[in-house]
Amino acid sequence: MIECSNGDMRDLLPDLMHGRVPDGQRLALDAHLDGCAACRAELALLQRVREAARVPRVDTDRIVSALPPYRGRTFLASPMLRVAAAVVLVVGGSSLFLRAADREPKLLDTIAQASATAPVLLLGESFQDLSDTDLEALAEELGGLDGMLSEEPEEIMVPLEGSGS
Amino acid sequence: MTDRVRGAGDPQDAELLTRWKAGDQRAASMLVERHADALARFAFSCGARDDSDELVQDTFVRAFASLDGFRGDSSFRTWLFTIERRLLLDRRRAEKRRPPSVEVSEDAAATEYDALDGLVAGESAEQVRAAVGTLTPTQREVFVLRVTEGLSYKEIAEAVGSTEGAARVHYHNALRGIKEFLDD
Repeated sequence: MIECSNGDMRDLLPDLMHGRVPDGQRLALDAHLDGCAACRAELALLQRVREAARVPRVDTDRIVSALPPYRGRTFLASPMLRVAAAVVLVVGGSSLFLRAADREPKLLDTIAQASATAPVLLLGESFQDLSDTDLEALAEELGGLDGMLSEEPEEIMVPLEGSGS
Repeated sequence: MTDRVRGAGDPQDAELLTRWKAGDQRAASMLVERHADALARFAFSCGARDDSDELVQDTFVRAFASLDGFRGDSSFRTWLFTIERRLLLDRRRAEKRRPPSVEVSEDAAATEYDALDGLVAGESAEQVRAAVGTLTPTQREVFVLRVTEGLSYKEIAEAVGSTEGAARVHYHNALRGIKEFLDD
């Protein structure tokens, strides 16, 4: 098939099929097609391609029933908003903590003291790093930890109405 | 060919989207009506012959689930084509991973597909489909969007993530390939 050398006109052929040729170019295209057998043949081929792409009608009801409901834009939808929220949380949390520490200086001491007295188990990266001796020592330390209350809670006596006592 | 509505760049889409966001379920139906056929043609022409309906549905579901990501830089239809194309690519990748035999390139896959198609191509429409099938996936996408859907090179570039110039080159290479196939 011979091709026309006028690329601009050839580029307009799909637009002609879809009624999208700009007004200013329509007359020039019509005049070109009158005198160009190659472009007329190309247009006919494009129409064949378009016709060959016919498909059965789509079941739109099925699609609509599968659509999710609109949830609207969530507050944290934007990545920038997520970053901003994280900054606010960190800065706000830190300032609240420091203000509380200013009001109650003992707070920091208490935290430091608790950290120092808390039972510490020295572990490696994983249990595989521990030797048999270390594992035995670890088992003993675990056995020494008391997960139960040291004393039974006191019983709470609730007087019953009308019991007379 | 009767398309239900001319969709690309249609300002009615924006209005329908606004109505749907406001809770009007009929607006969703109208949007699906407007664009379902075009998406089905694109899917079918790009090789999704057995499951084009499913692909169209998946495209709409994904689009409506992420509608807030649609900024309106392109037309709604172009955006739908972009989503459908991504789904098509995902399926092609999944299909490539599935067979344990020799890995084939996209071009080779297209050629194999169409050699088979050519055997059964009897009438004109089948011949044309077989010719379109000989194209590489990118050529086929560009050509179908240009000829079947009437998108401009700019819209095609947006849909396939390319440039207008590249889309134009793909279109003309595709057209030349189809002519050669049909002339043989």
